[in-house]
Amino acid sequence: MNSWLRTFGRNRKATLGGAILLGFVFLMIFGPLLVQDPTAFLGVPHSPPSWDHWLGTTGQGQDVLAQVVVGARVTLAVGFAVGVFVVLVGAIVGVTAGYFGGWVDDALSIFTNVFLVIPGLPLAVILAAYLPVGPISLTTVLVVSGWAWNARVFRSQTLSLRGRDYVAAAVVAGESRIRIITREILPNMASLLVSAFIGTTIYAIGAQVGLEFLGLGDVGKVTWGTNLYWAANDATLLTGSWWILLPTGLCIALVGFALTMLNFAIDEVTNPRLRGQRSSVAAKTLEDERAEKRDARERPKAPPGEKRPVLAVRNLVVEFPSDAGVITAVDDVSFEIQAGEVFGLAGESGSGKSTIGQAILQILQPPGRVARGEMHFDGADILVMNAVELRRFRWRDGSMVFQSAMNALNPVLTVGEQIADTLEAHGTVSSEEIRRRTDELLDLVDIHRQNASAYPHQLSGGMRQRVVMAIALALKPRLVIMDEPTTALDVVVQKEILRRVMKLEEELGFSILFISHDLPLMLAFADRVGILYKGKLVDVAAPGELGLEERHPYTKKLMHAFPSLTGPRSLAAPVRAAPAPGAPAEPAPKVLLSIRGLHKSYKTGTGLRKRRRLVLRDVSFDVHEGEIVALVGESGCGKSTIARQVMRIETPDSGQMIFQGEDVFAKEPGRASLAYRGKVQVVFQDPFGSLNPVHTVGHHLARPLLIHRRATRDRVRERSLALLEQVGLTPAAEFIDRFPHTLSGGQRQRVAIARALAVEPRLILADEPTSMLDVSIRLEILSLFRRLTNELGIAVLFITHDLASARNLADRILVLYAGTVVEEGIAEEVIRKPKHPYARLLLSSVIDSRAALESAIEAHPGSAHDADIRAACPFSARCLQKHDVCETERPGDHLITIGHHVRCHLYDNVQGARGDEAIS
Amino acid sequence: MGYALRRLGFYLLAAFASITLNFLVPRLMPGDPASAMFARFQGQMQPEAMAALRASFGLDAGSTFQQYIAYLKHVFTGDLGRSIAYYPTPVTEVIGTGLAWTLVLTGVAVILSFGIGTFLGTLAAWRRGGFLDSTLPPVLAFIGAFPYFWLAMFALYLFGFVLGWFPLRHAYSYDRTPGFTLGFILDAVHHAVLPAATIVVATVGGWMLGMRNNMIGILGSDYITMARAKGLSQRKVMLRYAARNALLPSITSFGMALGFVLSGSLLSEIIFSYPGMGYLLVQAVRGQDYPLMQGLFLIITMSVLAANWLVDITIAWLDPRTKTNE
Repeated sequence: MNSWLRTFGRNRKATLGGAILLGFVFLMIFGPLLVQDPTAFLGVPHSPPSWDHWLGTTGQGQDVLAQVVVGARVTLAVGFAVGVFVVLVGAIVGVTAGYFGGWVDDALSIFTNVFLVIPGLPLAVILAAYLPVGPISLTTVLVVSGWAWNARVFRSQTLSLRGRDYVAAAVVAGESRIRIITREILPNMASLLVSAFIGTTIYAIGAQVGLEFLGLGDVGKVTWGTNLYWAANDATLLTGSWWILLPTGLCIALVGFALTMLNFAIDEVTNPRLRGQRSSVAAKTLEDERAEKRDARERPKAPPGEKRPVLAVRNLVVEFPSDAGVITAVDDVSFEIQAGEVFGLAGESGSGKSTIGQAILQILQPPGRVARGEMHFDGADILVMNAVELRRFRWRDGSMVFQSAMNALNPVLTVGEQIADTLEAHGTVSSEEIRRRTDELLDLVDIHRQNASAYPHQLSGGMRQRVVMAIALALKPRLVIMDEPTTALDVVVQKEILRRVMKLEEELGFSILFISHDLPLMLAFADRVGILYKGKLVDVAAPGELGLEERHPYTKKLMHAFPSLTGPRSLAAPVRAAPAPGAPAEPAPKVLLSIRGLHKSYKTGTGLRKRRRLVLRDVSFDVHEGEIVALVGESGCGKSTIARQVMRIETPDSGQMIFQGEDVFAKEPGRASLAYRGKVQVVFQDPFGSLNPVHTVGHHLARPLLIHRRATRDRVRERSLALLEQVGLTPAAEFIDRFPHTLSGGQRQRVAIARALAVEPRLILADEPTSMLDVSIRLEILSLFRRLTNELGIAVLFITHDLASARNLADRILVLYAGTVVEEGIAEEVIRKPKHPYARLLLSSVIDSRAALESAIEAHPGSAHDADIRAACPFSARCLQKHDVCETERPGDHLITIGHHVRCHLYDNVQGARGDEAIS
Repeated sequence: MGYALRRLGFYLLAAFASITLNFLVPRLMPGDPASAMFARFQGQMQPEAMAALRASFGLDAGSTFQQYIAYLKHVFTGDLGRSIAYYPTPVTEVIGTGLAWTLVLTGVAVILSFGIGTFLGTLAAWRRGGFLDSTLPPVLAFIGAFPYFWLAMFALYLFGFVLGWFPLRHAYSYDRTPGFTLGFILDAVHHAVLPAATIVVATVGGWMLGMRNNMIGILGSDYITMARAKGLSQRKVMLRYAARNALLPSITSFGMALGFVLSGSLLSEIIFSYPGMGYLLVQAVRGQDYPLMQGLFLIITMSVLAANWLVDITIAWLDPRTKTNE
């Protein structure tokens, strides 16, 4: 907040606007003391500016200067008053609608939207015409006709803030509604409140002057509006007395201008991209540099016949100049890619791997620039290409598959149009030819030709990524740069896509620069792998050699950072010593949470098209004291929905939840009790969203301590420090007063864990707690969970899409598909001997070796996303072992071995451990 | 088409709400409006006009609910009462001629301004920090901060009065008879240039800035980078990929701002004695002509609602996502 204010203070527009505005506020307060009586008839009517009357006189002989100065008072007062009231009304209506949702929101939104489309001035005119004249009426009229816009803005802002994890975390911590609105939501709207106030004041001054000009104000009072009213009535124009008009108009404009500048400044501070800096300047110098380099370097003529690498990068340095100095994103990197080779670049976020890809195609985001080094494509120097050559090089020679396909496709153009654009840009003009080639390309990536006329949003994530690939291959390039091409996709789809890429590469013979953070995947996919660390290429080797002892230390660290599906389980619970003979047997752990028959559906659509979408169907499972249970499944399978029910920020349609022997929904059907909140806590996925940016680390820890009386007020700080120590943030005193934005992702996640621990819970819901962290930090966070379980006996419901993490950390695993638990068992057993066809599909889709990549996909095409949850068996549509009964009857829950259940018809006639032989 | 119909449903609801508002406002105000008016006129009002006024308020017809039903019936049969200033001409007839002039003048000016502003905004964002981007926004923000009607007075004084380039008042010369002849149209255009230009100058800055900021957001997105990487021409990236997407939120705010701009342009009409609805509005206010005022409110609101519906349909047509999202 403070740094925000400081940036704001330094902004030129803010200073200019603020200074002008202050001047007028001064005039508003003291002005009337400084000038003559504005209503007195002092001089000759219509006399131009003179020594006696600096700004001349009006048509009735009053002093113009006095009128302008005195007029400021009422006009600005009404303007500011309207600003305050409108923001107040708008905020109350908007925040109420946004926070409470449901029918309250429906009703208020319709009301707001109706008011919004009714034009303000005509409404103000009829209101003003019936009300007695005067500033109070004017204020009322303007508030009534102007509140709706703000209500709408505040509603949408509240909706977006309410969805933030830190609000959910506050609910789970047991904060009251009022406190959540005033302390968690409103402070994050500060800049919006200010800019709404400014915007409304601008509107209010304009509309007020307009109404008074129409004669709807008190024409006996001196305001800027009545000044103009009299000016128009006294035939100012016909007599040519411009001095009556000019000063008042200028003042109105100056105030409006000052307010607008302040609003510009707020926009720029909250969104720094809007500031009009460099870009074009940077582009110019880049162009100059190119020209210089062109002159300096002779184009190398490759000796005929010699085998050249497709891409050769030599000593590449990429810099990002910033206010704080030059940041070197890529530092002296050299590598070559041979024809037909797959070269992998692995590294964590900030290692510069994507920057290298962008530098090759010369699409670095400004102000990034290649500072030194050379890049040759098939012998041609990329850095000296002129605009025409560069356009030809892009896509015809080297193309790129972007990370997120939804963002890489233009949402308003069809797939076909985007392919056609590419072809046209490189010389294909006949529409016949374009259609033929489009069909060919779609066939190549196995997408139905009809989809050429589809828009990106109509396709699934995997299909979109294949479209992006089709576009990348459109011109048969010799090098394809793939920047995290499958990171946003689920494992099954990922495997499908990578197999497709492999096949295409064999057929078409292009080279691939494969950029990814996923080292196991890379080892399976690439011919050679380069390891990037802080912009430097620290290691290059074939996949088989990367695991050797003598590699670079960072390589070794990275190689060990990924949990694996085989080998020892690094984070498993400690093996308990067998009880001494004769000693009483250790009691079995008690059931902590027991869920039975949970159903949940969400409303979709509005008005007449309301529907309910079922997301959880008959979910039942147990969590024991001190146990880590992993809930695994692809996106959309309902795993986070389960967490939200247990967190009790949502209520299921039906089902039972027994926590510590008590039926939770029967006992407290409405909001969760403080006692429940004190036992069940949560750690969210996104460490940047789960801490409120306006509060310090200390505040985040103090609140749960105080709400649940885990510490007295004078002991809070001491206890908070201890919590920080417990999660490994030492020295704790250095962290407690910091704001979240000054912490790294891993540190924030530790704070989030400390906050969950503050209430001394029995169960922590960890919703993908590591998926947004860098790999080197993931293991640390996971082992922290294991430590907490071992030391404090806290149970953890660990929600993840990553099977390897689940295997390494969890005691038991539940596999979820389309809102149903399809398999449940001891972690190692589910991973080694999966029973359900879906669990097998999921496991075989994890790519950790070449063999895994090359093995067939064990299902019909489809996705977890659009599985029919209401079908008897939701997986039957994709199952390779489907029987007739799978389509008609819901499969029952079969016990395979102790604690290993599977919900599948294949095991209908199987009892106990013989299940395995029965189907293989 | 389902989308268009649903939006139509919403605007019908809004129309109904504004009709109800129009009925309620005089009744919620302190005192009986007719008597209040009678007092203001201090007996100068003719008894017939007074009776007409009471009738148009429906004050002579039983309970409030019955009055409401009667009022709705009147509105739906196109009867908005009789004007007092132009007694006994019906309000609809008084408004009829003004409506056309206003719609043409404001419509053309607003579309021109939106087009120019959007184009300038596109260029400014494309060359961020360039000459256009650093000079125009503050200048336009300053001009835009003047009330429209003040700019109108100033333009009229300078270009009409001092320089004599444009006529001083009305929509066409008095010696011409309205009709679709070239001479008349040229004359009308000549009269419309100044009023239209003031609206354009006053509003163009807002459109420009809005488009600029949308564009800057869009320019950072992956599909722009990909379009550049694909080797598309600069022009194509700017227009077909960036501007095409940045235009969508601009058009939404265009719909939102229509009512506001229309209100401003009504005030400029007064300055130019342009025979549109703004001119009628000032006549109504000065002549305490309540039926006319309320009729104007209804007609203006209906025009704005209709325009907003057209905007919604345009967006649905330009943005393939509108129809499926919701």
